[in-house]
Amino acid sequence: MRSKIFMSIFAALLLGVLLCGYMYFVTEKGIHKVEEITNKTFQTVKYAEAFHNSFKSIDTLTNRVLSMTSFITKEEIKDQFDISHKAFANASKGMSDYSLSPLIQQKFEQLNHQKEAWLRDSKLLLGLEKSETIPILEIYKQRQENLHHTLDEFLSLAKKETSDQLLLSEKELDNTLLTTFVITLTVSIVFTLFAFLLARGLSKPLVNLVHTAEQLATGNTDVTFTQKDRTDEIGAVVRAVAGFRDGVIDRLSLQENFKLQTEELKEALSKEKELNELQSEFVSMASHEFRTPLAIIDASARRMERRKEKLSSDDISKRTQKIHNAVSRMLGLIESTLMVARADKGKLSITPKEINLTELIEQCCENQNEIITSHIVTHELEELPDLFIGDQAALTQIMTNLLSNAVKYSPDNFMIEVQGWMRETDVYISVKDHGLGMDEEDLSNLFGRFFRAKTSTGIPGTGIGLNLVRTLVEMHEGEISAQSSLGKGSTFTIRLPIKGENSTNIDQEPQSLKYASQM
Amino acid sequence: MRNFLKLIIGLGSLTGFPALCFAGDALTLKSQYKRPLEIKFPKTAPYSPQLVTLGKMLFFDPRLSGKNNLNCASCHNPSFGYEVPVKTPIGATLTPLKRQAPTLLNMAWVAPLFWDGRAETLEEQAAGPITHPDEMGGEFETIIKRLSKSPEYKKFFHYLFPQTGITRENILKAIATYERTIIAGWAPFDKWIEGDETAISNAAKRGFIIFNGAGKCATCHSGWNFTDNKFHDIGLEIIEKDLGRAEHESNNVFAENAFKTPTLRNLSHRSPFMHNGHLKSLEDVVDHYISGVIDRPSTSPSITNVTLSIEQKSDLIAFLKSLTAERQDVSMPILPN
Repeated sequence: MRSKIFMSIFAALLLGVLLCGYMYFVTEKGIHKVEEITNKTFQTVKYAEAFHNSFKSIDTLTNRVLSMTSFITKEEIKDQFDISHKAFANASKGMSDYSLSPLIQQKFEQLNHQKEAWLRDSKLLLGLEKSETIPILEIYKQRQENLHHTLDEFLSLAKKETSDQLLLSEKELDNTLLTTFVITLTVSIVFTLFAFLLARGLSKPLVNLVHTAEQLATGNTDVTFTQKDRTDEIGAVVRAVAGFRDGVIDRLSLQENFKLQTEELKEALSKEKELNELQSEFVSMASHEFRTPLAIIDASARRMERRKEKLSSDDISKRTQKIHNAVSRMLGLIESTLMVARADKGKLSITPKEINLTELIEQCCENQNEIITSHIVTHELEELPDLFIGDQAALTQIMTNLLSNAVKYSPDNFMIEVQGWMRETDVYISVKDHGLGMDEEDLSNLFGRFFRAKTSTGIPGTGIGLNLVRTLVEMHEGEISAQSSLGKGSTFTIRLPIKGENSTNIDQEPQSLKYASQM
Repeated sequence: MRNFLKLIIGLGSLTGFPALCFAGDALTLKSQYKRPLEIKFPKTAPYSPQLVTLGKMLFFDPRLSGKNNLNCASCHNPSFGYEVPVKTPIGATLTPLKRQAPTLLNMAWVAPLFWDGRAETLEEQAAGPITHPDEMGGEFETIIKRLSKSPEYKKFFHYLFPQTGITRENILKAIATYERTIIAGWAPFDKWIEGDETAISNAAKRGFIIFNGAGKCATCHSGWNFTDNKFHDIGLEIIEKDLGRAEHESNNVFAENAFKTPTLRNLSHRSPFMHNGHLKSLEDVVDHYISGVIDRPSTSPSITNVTLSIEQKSDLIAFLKSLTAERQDVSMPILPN
């Protein structure tokens, strides 16, 4: 690379010197030509002036003699004429040496001819030549005038020709300058091209490298190095960047590892958070819901303890019944809580089996009637399928929950109606009460976890019952809906698809209650 | 269109034919009026500028007259065509002379000299007026004495005539040589002859034809100098008896009242006209030839009254005026003392 640059500088110097030499040569030539022409012009003008002056002096002499106003001797005339004639002849010869073009040559010949005739006439009139005749003065004057005219023409021609020549030489100089300019331009262009190529040779691998480096910077390590084998500085830089690329690849794999680890940590953390939430929920629920039955059990037990002597067997059975109820309520609570937790975890599972749905519903209603004396549950079941695939426990849980809710939220009306019917491939079961009911807003949020309607104030509950019911229904690929109007009661309807033998069996997973174990 | 062209050509030839004839006539006529380009000098008096200069000095020198008061130019005034603007000049006796001074223009081509041709050469002629008591009243003895007093004249004469010096012959030779150089200048007519068609007016061109034809002028006023150098009685009214040529040619009937034909060059400067200066203008001259020619025994057979219309007359006069050259300066010599 360095040697290339040095070589180009050397070439430029050499060319510059050559160009200067050529320009000097050409300009010198042009100037010489102009000088030559100027010299010629100068000579011509000199001769023309001499010619004209001699012509004039002979003319003056002739005029002086022919005016006959004073006596001029022949010798005097001869001397003056000789001087003038000599100068005249000299100038004439000088002008004859000056030859430029045939036209001017022709003019000069004409001039010479006229001049000779005029000189002869002059000699005759001046008495320098003897003759019997002399030209009439007027004729002489006429001829002289013609000569003058020819001389003027000749001079103007010569002047024109000279100026033409000067113009020509100027043009030649212009041409020379143009040639020089063109050569300079060409050389400049060649140099620029050369410099461009050189710069390109330098910059292209660099640009490629920059591009590669940018790609590397954005993390793309899938790049190739084409100039790795160069022996110059560029090659070294390329090899260095290639080394850097390898480093980047290493770094990226490390980064990937870090990312994966971070992801795992994050997941663990979120799980931990969830567990914590559940735990706190459970704690809060336990504090509210578990205390009541415990208080009943405690109160019944204390009463029985205090009045153990007076208690009749009726009383005892009454009290134990209360304890029994409280226990079963707690059990129910525990069971539903656990189920919700399991459902959240995705670990709640059902075990579909062939069950008798009609029997199941009737049993639930009876159970309810047995437990709750304040209300009466009626059921009306229309040709429900004999064969229904579902989870016995889950369906029982659903019914129990719906019925207990109906009891709970209809304190002033004891009628609870259960209806069952079938449409196409679905079974519909509805539980209707005539209790408090709720507004539209509450209705839309009804199945949310821990949600409690505004009308539920003062009525104990955890807000997880309906949420569980919905989960269980959905696990049976059914759905639950509710209609309610404030003060008139609510109707909960579940739709369950009738599944034949082909229905999918969900694998039963062993129930794991992590939070329970962590309690 | 064709008819129109025919008409044009017809009209053209109608007007063109006489013009063409005239053109042919004019060409042959014109060739007779070409001027000579050189002055011929007699072998006895060859040209030299010194001789001419001396002649000019003598021409203008009043010391050649008896009373130092007249020179040749007194009667041969360059401003009036080397004549005088009076009927006849007044000489040394202060009385008008018998005849007008003849012009000196183109005398190199004229011989014999004087109105009556009594001198064969200019030298001979020059002696006449110098010594005539009515004219300059000079005597050569006195003249030579006077000139000899001037060292310059002496020098000049001795330079030109080393052997003889100041003599009568040498004086006359010098004057005659000078007079041979007095040439009428190039007139518009000459330029026309040389081919410049615009040099003279169409009237003058028509006048030229009349001059050579109907006017019969060219019979005597022939050639470029407009003279046949002969003597004619042109039938002028005789106011004062003058025999003219008959004084020297007594046995010739036509010599009576006959005078030499003068040149017509520079006419415009030369009035009054005729040998006695009795015709004041060119119109008078032309009128004389139309109606004034007196038929008498001596009257030249060539001279009769001519018939010219008023237009022809004016054309003729236009032509005559075209014979006058532009005025030429004549520089006066400084006379030696």
